[in-house]
Amino acid sequence: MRGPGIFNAEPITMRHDDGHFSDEVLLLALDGELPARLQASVQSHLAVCPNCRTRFQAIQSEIEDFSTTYRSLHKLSPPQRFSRAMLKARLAELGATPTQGRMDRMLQSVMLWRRWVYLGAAVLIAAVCGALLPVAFGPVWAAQTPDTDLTPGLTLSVSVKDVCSNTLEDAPEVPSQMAYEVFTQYGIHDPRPRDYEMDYLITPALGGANDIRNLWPQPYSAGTWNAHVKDALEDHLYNLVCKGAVELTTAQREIATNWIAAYQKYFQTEDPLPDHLGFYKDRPWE
Amino acid sequence: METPRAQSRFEGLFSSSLGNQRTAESSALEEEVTALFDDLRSPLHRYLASFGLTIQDREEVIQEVFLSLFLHLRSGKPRTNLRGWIFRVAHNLGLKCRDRNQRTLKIVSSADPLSIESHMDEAPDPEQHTSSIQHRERLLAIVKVLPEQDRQALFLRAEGLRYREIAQVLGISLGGVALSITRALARLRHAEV
Repeated sequence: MRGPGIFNAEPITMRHDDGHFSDEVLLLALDGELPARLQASVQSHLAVCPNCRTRFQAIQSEIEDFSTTYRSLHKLSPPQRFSRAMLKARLAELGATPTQGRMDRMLQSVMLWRRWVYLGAAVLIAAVCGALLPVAFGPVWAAQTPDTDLTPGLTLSVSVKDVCSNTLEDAPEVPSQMAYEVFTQYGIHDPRPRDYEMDYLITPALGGANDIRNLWPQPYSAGTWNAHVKDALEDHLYNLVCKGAVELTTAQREIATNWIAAYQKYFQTEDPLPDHLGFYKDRPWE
Repeated sequence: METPRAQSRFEGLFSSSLGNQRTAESSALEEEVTALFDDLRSPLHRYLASFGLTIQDREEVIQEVFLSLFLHLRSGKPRTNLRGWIFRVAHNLGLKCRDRNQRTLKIVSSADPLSIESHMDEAPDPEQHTSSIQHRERLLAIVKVLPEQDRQALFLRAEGLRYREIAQVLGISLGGVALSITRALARLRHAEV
């Protein structure tokens, strides 16, 4: 038996041949979403049918179990107060526009230039919360590898031929506004010039994208596994890819997933080679 | 008869009063939108993670959702079922963002559409922890292979949306939601046996 008008777009089975209601009907009955007469009919049936009552309770409990597991997952980064403050700044800006037409234009402008608005809000927040934020974010940037949530690594759709024929542009200099945005996401609010390389996790020479999701502030002072050493790996991987010894996608994936492990694998060493500790390729951020 | 100067002063006072009223309304709306943001940011992050969006993309989408909500409320549009409205806008913007990314860029690492799964809170008891990890992994392995509509319907239900709201978010009928969720539950049930 098929359902009444309310379900016409996607007819569902109402009752099985044995007269019991289908799972779909029991599911909708949970929220009281059925037409009143059908809802009453389901309730009457449940009162006298232990099998359907068991199915009804099982559906309810399966949804609750899944919801509990689902909601126990996930962590948030950056912290709520950061994005909340950003939203408030953007709302205040939007709220200051008095007319409908101007409001719409303002929203479009905000959407188009949202990265710049983000930056403005972030600088404002940094000024207000300067003393507190490093405490909250500090451990993130101290790492020798990037936060994979913030910097998963992105590539352009390029071939080995593109990469190795030197048709790709050199690593473009990161605009200072974008660099500040990256620093802010990593909780660095007063970066000292020349202490970091604004590093493309996947170097553009290997098809890495000029995108904030492919950028992270790599400190020169992060122990032996620092920006100099990663620069050496990038050059080595480029040569291996162009010799055909390593697949381009493998090189991209390995450097993005764990560049230190990639270095150890391709240089066959536990520690960085002495020559690489002072390797100089990309310019420091300043 | 009112002099032009007096009229102008009157208009000035009137527009100043209107301006103050508008500012007060805007402030109240900002508070309302921010309160909804506080309630729904985490659920939206979880839901948008199922689109395979990075945390930055999710954050941008969520900001856009609440800026749009501000304009929606400010223009006097209906206030009924704002939670459903918010999820629907997030769903549409999430799809757009995913399409844009697929056209231009590809994420190389940690590009699991269910990236939420690597962040489960640790249980205090090691045995319980191991068992819950196994349970979670089994469950998520099944969820991963569900048709997208079934998975999204299930996630939205897990966020506490009513079936009618889920239908609104996904743009399908109530019957379609019921079919999607019962199909998903049947797959989960089958795997638990």
